[in-house]
Amino acid sequence: MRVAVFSAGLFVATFALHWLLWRVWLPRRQTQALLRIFLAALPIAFILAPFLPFLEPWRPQGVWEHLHVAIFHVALSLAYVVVNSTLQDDSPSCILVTFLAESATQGRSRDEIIAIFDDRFLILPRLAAMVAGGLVAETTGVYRLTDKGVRWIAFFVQCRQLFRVSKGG
Amino acid sequence: MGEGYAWIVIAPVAGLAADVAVHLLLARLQILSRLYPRMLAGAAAGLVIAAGLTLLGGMMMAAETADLVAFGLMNAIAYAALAFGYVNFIQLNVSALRVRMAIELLEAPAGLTLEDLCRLYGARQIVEQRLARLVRGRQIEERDGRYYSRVSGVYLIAFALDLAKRAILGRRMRDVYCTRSLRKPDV
Repeated sequence: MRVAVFSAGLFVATFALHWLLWRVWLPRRQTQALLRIFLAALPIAFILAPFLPFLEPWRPQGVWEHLHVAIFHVALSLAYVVVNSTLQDDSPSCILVTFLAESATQGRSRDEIIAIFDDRFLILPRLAAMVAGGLVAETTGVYRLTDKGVRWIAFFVQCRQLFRVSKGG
Repeated sequence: MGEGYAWIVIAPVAGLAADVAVHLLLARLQILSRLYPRMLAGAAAGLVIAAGLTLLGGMMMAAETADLVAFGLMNAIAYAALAFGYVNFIQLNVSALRVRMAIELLEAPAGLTLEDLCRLYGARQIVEQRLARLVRGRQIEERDGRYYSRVSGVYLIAFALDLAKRAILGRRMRDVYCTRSLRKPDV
């Protein structure tokens, strides 16, 4: 019970810190900032816990309890980072379903649906994120993958072949 | 903590390993032709391993019921989070626009302009592909050339994401098609 309460408390506290921070300052590279905050919270909590008397009944003891807290916290943190990146990106499928839901029983025609999307809205934010992440470089209006970008996409291509999944998009 | 505690601690990670192994095995042997049943089978196998190890550990350390429930809940959440991350990683290969754009750039060593990218994979193609996938997956309905919403997995995910987006980023899903300025951001 002690480990469960400490783990849940740590994740909730880290999430609250992130939520408050995002209210006052939205980092340019949100995913990287989130990973830093959530992963740094774990060693900080382990270091500070022995000095905080109110945590006395809940503090983990021994290697296995610390490892249990770490597995729980890292698993939830990574899952949350995935959810957050979905929030940043505006998934076309989710936008489409929301647009249809707003029409209630009238439905929407194919042309009405296509009209809400335009090429720039779908392509530009993702291209900008890849440029900011150093995966793509732009020179005089021409975009090319950087060495980092080639390594990144080669990993996905190999995974696609390994798991026999279809082309992305 | 007793000797069995180690099994409880490693249970979510062992569950994830089983999930990946079963999914990979089914994919390589081409058992179950569709991606989602394969992923579901992997996730179910992982859940069995995670739950089994948690129970085994609990019995070995003769844990009290309250502790066993707490460990079970904690491991169920941790395994669900790991499996969710894995499903999303696989899903990236299927539907991520970034991955698709990067593949187009990989196949064009001289590079591509924004116009080239839009021509290769523009809004119409994306929407046509998504509509077909959503209808095929029974996530939306098509009747007489019109598309209708239905309560489905994607609808519930979109609803939950919309709530989260409002709480965390202070904007809504519908802002994308209701706010002109969001439709042409700068690179």
